[in-house]
Amino acid sequence: MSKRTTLSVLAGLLGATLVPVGCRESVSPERRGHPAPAFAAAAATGIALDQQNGALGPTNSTMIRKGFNPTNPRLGSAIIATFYWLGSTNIIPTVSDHLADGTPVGNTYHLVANVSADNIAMATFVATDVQNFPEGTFPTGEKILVVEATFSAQIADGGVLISSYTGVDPVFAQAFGGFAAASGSGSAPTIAHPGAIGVNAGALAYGATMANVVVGLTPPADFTPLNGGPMSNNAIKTDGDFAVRASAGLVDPQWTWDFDQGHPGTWLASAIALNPAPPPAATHLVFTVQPSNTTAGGTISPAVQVAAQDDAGTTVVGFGGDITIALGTNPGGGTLSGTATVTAANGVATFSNLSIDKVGNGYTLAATATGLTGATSAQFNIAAPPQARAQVSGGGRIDPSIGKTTFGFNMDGRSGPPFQGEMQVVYHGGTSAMTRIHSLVIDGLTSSPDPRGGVCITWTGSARINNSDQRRFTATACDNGQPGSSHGTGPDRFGISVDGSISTGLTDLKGGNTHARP
Amino acid sequence: MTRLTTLLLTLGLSAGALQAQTPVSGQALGAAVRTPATNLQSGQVTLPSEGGFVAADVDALSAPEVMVDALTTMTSGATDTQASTAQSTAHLENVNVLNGVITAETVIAATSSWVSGAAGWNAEGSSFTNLTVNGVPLGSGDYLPAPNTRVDLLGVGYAVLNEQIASGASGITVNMIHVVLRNALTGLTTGEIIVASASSSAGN
Repeated sequence: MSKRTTLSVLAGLLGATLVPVGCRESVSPERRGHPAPAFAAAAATGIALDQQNGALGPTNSTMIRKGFNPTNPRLGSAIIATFYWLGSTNIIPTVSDHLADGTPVGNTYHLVANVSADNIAMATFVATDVQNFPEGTFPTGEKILVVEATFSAQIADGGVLISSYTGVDPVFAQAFGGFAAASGSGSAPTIAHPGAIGVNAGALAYGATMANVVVGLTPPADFTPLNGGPMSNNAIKTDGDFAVRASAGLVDPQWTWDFDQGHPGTWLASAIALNPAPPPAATHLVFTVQPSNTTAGGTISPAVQVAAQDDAGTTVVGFGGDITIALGTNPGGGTLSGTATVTAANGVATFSNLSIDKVGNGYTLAATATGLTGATSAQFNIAAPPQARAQVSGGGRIDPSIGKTTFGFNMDGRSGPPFQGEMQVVYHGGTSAMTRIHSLVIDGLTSSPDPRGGVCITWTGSARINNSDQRRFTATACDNGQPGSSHGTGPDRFGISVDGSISTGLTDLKGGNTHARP
Repeated sequence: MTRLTTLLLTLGLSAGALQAQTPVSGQALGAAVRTPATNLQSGQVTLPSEGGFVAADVDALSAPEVMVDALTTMTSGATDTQASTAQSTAHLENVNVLNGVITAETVIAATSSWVSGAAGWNAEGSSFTNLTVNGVPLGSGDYLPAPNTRVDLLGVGYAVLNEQIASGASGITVNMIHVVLRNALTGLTTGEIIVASASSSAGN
């Protein structure tokens, strides 16, 4: 009994002779196959069943063909067609495709598994990356893709199961992952299985079976029946099933044929594996989280994210290279601080501590990665930080790498800018002459918490270096309560930088004190 | 540490709470010489009682008793209802006292005083670099002798290195070099030289 839709069998003879590779054994069926080649990568999107169809029926013809009515496969998908027939074992067909209106299509169908015994035979063909037909649903049928087998001799009965899958490697040699086939017979419930084949992670396992009697049939566990389940007519019964394996391993689909003394039978079984398409390669970078407006010195939040994407605009989760951020447009002459090179995780690099020290409108960031086309962010602005109305005074000594440094200051942020205040810093290292930094104008003063629990006051302005050279500076003093105040715990700190050429870093005091009044 | 110093430190650190928003004081001095032939003070700064910041630079000091390539002195302080603090530094480069009797590449005097619930002081940050006395190196590199270390200067008198004089709960004066000149025959004091002096106090 035909399970579904139509079967078109047209008369015709073509001289193709195929050699069957299965064999028959009643107790311990011989199995043939080869292992799957090793493909490490899994498909980015995975293999999925697309379309399916099939039918059985008396033929008395040299041809079996079936259309994907009403909906054609997706272009680029893989088609598996298993033909079943009664008759000679050396008449394996050639397979081609065309539209129902007769227009040739021309995809190549590779014979991947065949087996015959006791005057029944089946053969499975695969075409990958199918093209040259219209996608879509065609209720009137003219543009339906038809898969057609031409036998070298007339067959009395037979049929076909066709199915298509997206996500299969488009190159057949890489897609085909191995096969196994076997045959056997029984007069009691009999397990039919082709033997184990190895499958890669994400691969498609496809199995087919056939018997020359119509008895009960239990499909293999963990497989999905195709075309609604087994198909049968008066002469034969068939079944096809598939599964997509998340992880690599062995697959051996097992059917149970309910043969008995009154209905002994011969079974055929085969299995094939198709590998998933390799992950698409990343080609370019994209800012998936754009930089936001913030204040000078403030961390850009939310964290900027840059993704490595393929040509289709899909993030390539397998990309794990380094992505580097730098200033693109720099209207304020700012300096980018923070971790500028981040290794992508699942194709995305997250820059969580970027900041820019100078005010400006229209900044952009530029992202680069080796071998990929870079990206430029949207424009964003860096505003002046809110002025702190704090006061801070202090003095003492630090020992940064530039040399022993003494300093003193007193800043009043309650009015201004410019702010009232004065600062002097003196350092010298080794035998070098003493360098003196004396503030002239204080035009910025901000407050921020110190991780040690206290408070940091940062002031900016211009200063004379050794009573001659006037340059911009930024100084920070942090009051953490040691000694003599209640802010936080831990040493106070001080640091100064002058136009990027002199920098002490924010350094623990070796002596002295900082007294902040936020 | 002398008994007197220990006593002063103990008194200073255990004096307990003082009134907040108390006045502060601070002074720093690069060098001072008082002899029959010379009377000078170089780089002296004094902190106003309400706090603030005062600094002085001297590019070169050249007196018969003391030569210094450069010095900077600073004193700063603040007072409010929570705390009062003052700190002073004197930072000298290439110091030569009495024509080589005492030399140092760097001399830093640093004091810090505070009152915030409790009162206290310290002289952390004070040190010599490559100090020599009577031509003999003392220590190596960054070096700080024990407070009030006395060394004799043959035919001249004596010097007190890292002289620390506490006063009250939070007052401290550090004279990194204090030379007392004496007449070799009579033993009478004929003059004094102080190099790198810092002092501070909060609430005293």
